[in-house]
Amino acid sequence: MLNTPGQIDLIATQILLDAQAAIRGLELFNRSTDDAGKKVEILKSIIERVAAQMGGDLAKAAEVVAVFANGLTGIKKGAVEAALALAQLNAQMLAGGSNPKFAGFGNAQETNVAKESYDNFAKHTQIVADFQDKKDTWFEKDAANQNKIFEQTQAGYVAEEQAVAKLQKQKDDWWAKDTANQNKSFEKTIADYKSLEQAVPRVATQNFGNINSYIAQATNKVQAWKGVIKSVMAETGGSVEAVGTQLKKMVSGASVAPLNKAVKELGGNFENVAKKSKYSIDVIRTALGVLTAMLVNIVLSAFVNFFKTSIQGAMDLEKSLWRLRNAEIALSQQGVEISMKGLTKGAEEIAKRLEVFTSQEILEALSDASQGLAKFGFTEQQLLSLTEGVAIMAKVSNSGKTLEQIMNDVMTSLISPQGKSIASLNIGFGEVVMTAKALEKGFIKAGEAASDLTAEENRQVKYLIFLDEVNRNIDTMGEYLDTNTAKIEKNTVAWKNFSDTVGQTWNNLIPDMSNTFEYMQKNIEQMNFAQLISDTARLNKKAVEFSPIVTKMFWGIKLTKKETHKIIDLLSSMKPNDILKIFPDPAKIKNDQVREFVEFIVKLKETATELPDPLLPPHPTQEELDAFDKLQEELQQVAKDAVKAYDELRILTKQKYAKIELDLKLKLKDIDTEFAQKLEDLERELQQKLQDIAIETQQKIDDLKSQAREDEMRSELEFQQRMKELRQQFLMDLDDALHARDARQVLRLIKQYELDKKQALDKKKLDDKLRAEKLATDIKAAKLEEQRKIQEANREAARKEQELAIEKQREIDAANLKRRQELDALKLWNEQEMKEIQRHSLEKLTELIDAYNAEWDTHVQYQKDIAKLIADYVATNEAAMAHMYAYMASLYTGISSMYAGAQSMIGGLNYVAPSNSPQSIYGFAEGGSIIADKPTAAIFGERGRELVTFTPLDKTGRDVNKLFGDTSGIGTSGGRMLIEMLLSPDLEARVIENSLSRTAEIVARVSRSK
Amino acid sequence: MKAKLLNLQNALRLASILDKYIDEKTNANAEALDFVSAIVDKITPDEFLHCVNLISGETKEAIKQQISIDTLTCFVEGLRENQILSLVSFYRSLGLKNNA
Repeated sequence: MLNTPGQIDLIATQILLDAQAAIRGLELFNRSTDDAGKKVEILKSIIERVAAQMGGDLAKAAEVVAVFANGLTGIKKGAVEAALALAQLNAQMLAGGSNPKFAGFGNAQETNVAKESYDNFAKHTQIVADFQDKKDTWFEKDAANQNKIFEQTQAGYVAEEQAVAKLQKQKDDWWAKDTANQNKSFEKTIADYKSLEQAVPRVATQNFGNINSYIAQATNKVQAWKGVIKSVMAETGGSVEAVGTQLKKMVSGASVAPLNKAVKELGGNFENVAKKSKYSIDVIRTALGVLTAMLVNIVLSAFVNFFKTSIQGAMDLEKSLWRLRNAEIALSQQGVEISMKGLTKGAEEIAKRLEVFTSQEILEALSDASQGLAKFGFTEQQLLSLTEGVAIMAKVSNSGKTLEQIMNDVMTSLISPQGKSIASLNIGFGEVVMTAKALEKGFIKAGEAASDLTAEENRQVKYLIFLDEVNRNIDTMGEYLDTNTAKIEKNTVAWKNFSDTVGQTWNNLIPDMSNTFEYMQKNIEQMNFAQLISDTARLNKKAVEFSPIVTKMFWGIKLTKKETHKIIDLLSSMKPNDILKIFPDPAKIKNDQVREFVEFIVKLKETATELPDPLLPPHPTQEELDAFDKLQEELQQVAKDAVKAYDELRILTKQKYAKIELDLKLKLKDIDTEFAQKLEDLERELQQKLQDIAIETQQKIDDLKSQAREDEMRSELEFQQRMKELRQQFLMDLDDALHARDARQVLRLIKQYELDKKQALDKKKLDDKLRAEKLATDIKAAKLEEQRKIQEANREAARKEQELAIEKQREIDAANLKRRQELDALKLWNEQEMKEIQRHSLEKLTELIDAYNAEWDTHVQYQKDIAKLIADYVATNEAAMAHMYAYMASLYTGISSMYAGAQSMIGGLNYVAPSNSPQSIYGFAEGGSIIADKPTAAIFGERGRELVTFTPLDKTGRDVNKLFGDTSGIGTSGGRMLIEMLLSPDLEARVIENSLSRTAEIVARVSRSK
Repeated sequence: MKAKLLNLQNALRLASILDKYIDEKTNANAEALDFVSAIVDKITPDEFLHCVNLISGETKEAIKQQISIDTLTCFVEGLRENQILSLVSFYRSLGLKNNA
C-alpha cells in the first residue's frame, strides 16, 4: 500500500533515525574496547531492533546486521552469531514469561537458572573475547617470538630434507655398489634391502617351523637347504647369497656345512641362468635393432607401395583405353557402329553389375575383344555382351584361368571356323548344336547343315551358343556374388578402383612419376640401410665410431674400402632373416651400394652355415625359440601401434590447428565487418552533420534577410508618415500665411517644406544603405560560422576514425593473442600426448620384457641392459619417425603441408618454457585487473604511466580512502582527473583517476560499445 | 537493494547532495564509520531517501518498504561503489555549486 503524502516525511524520518541508531550502535561497539560482553550486548540490541522490523526473525536480522557491520567496521560474523545466540536466549526467556534482567520476574528457580546461564554465557564470551584480544596483541607485538617459531619450524623442515637426501644417497650408493643384491626388480629390491634381515627368518620360520629341526630331520640336508633357500628367495626376492647369509644366522653347528654347499650349488645353477640370459639379451638386442629399421620401413613402404601400385594401375588402365580407342577407330572405318563412349560406359556398367572385377580388368577384356573381333563384324552391343559373358564364365567355370586367358580362348574359337569347342569352359560347337542354332536363328533352311554357313554366320552362331551357356550360368553367378569369397573380392576391387583413381590423379599432376619413385625408393633404401647401421652400431656401443660412416651413407657419399669392411663386420652379427625382414628381396634393391651390401651379407651368411652363430645358444630348445619369436612379434606389434598412435595424433593435431586458424580468420573477418560498419556509420553521421550545418546556416541567412525586409518596410512606413506629417504641417502653415497675406512667409514655408522633404529622403537613403550593409555583414558572419562548424565536424570525424582504427587494432591484437595462447595450449597438449604414447609404448615393451624375464629367469644385470635397450629403442623410434616425416616433407609439397601442419606449427611457436617461478607474471600494458588469491607477481608501467591500486577483498578495511576514494585532492589545486564514461549499455560513468582537484584538468575518456 | 555505479549525471546529483556534509579536510586516516556517521547525523530524511533512490535506482516508495538497515547498507555501499570522496572532489572542481 502506498503512503499518503502526509506519511512520507514520517517514514523517511524513521528510516533515517533507524540508520542513525544503527550507526551509533556500531560506534558504541567500537568504543567498548575493553568489554566484550558489552560489545555483544550492543550487537544484540541492533539485531533485536532490526528483527522488530522483520517480523521478529532474529536469524535473518543477524544476517543483515553481519553484512552491514562487516562492511563498515570489520566486525566478524562470529561476533554477530554470539549476539544472535544471546538475543535468541532472551527471546526464549521472554516467551516463557521470564526476563533474566529483572530479578523477581517469573519464578525464582527459573530466574536463577536463566541468570546463571546468561552470566555463564557472558563470561564465556568475555573469555573468548579476551583470548582473541590477547592473541591479536601477541600477533601485533610479539614478532620476535613468532620469528623464532617460524625459524624452528623451518629448521625442522631443513633437517627433514637433509635426512631424506641422506637416505637417497644411501640408496644411490647401494644401487651403484651392491650389484650382487640386485637380482630382482627394483621396487622389490628396495623393499627387501630394507627388510631382508627381518624377512628371511620370518619367511623361513613360517614355511618350515624350527629351521634347525627341519634340516636335522631331512635325509638329504643339502637338498633340504636348497628347498628352503628357493622358497625364501621366492617370497623375499633376496639373492642366493643374501638369503644364505641370513639363514646362516639362524642355524648352528652341523647345519652350516650343507647350507654352504646348497648355496654353492644354487650359485652354479645361477651361472647357467646367466648364460641363458646373455643369450636372451642378444636376441632382444637384435630384435630391437631390426625393429627400429623396420619402423621406418613400415610407413615409408606403405607410402611408396601405395603410390607405385596406384600409378601402375592407372597406367594399365590408360593402356587398355588406348587399345580400345584403336579398336574403335578400326571398327568405325569398317562401318561398324561403335563408339568409344558406348564401350567405356558399357564396361563400367559391367564392372558395376559384376562387382568382383575392376573397371580396368573389364576394360582390358573389352579392348582385347574389340581388337581381336574388330574385323569380323561384331557390333558394339555384341562386344559388350561377349565381355560380360566371358567375365561371368571366368568366375563360374572353375577353370583357374584369368579373365584375359578365357577371353583369348573364346575369341580363338569364335574366329577359327575349325574351332569346335571352348575347352576351358566346356562349351562345344558340334555339328548338331551348330545346326540347331543356325536353323533357330534362320541362318540356314531345313535340310541344310552347319557346314553350309558362311564364315561370318559361323562366328555369329558360335557367339549365340556361347551366350546361351552364359545365360544358363547367370544364377550360379548370383549365388557366387553372395559368398564370402566374393565379398572379399569386392572389397579388393573397390580398393583397386580407388587406387587407380589416385594413380590417375598423380599421373595428371606429375606425368612421369616413375623416375621420381625410383629415386625415392633408392633414397629410402639408402636411408633405411644407414639407419640400420646407425642402430646396430649404437646397440653395440660403437655409435661414435660409425657416426661419420652413417652420415656419409645418409648423404649418398661413396664409402672407402675400410669403411665397407667395417660395416660388413658390424652387420655380420645379424641373422640373414633379420636383414631380409627389412629388405625382403635384395635383388630388387635399386640403390647399388645398398644392394651389394645386403646381397653380400645374406650370401655370406647363407654360405657360412657351418660356422656356429655366436648369437645362438649352445642348445636352444624349441620352446625357447618359440618364446623368442613370440617376444619379437609382440615387440613389433607395439612398434606398429606406436606408429599408428603417432599418426592419429598428427591428424588430430592438424585438425585442432586448423580450427584455431579458422577461428582466427572468422574473428578477423568479424572485426573487419564490424569496423567497416562503424566507419560507414561515422561517415553517415558526418554527412548528416554537414547537412544540418548547411540547413542551419541557410535558415540563419533567411532569418536575417527576413528581418532586413521587415526593417525596410518599417522604415518606408516611417518615411511615408514623416512625409505626410511634413505636408500637413506645411499646408496648415501655408493656410495661416495666406490668411495673413504674408507672401514672404509663404515663400519661406515653401522653401522650408522642400528642405524638410529632402532631408527626410536623404535620411531614408542613409538608413537603407546602413541596413543593407548590416545584412551583408551578418550573412558573411553566418557563412564564416558555417565554415567553422564544418571544420569542427571534420576534425571530430577524423578523431573518431583514428579512435576506431586504434580500437580495431586492439581487437586484432586480442584475437592474435588468443590464437597464440590456444596454439601454446595445443603445443603443450601435443607434447603431452607424444609423451603419453612414448610412455605407453615403453610400458608395454617393459611389460613384455618383464614377462619374458620372469618366465626365463633372466639375471638382473641383463634386465638392466634390456631396459636400456628399450629406452634407446624408444628414442630411436622417435628420431626415426621425425627423420622420416622430414624426408617425406622434402619430397612432396602435399605431404610437406600435412607434416608442417602438425610439426612445424608445433616446433615453430617460439614456445617459452615456463620458468621455475611458481606463479605466472601478468603484464598490464593494455590495462586490466585480476583477482589474486595467492601471492602474485605483476608487471605494470612497461609501456608508460599506469595507475595501480590494490584492494583487499577478504576484509573491508577501515581506511576512509580505501572505502570512499582518495581525499588527497580536497583542498588543493592543480593536477589531473580522469573520468571514464561507459556509454553503453548502462550509461555508466565513474571517476577512475583523481590526483588533485579545484583547478584540475578534466580528461574524459569515452568508451562506446554495443 | 543493490548499490549501482552511477552515470555521470546521477553521480553529480549525489555529489551535490552530499557535498555540504563532507568536510574538505577529511582526514585520510579517519575511520570509515565516523565518516558515514558524520553524514547520516546531518543529512535530512528527504536527502537521505533521495541519495538511496539515486544509488539503488529504486523509487522512494519502494525504498520505504525496505527495512532501515538494508537502506543504510545500500547507502554505505553506494558511497563506496561511487568513490564518493573522489566524486565530490571532482564535483567541486567543476564549479557547479550555486554559491561558487
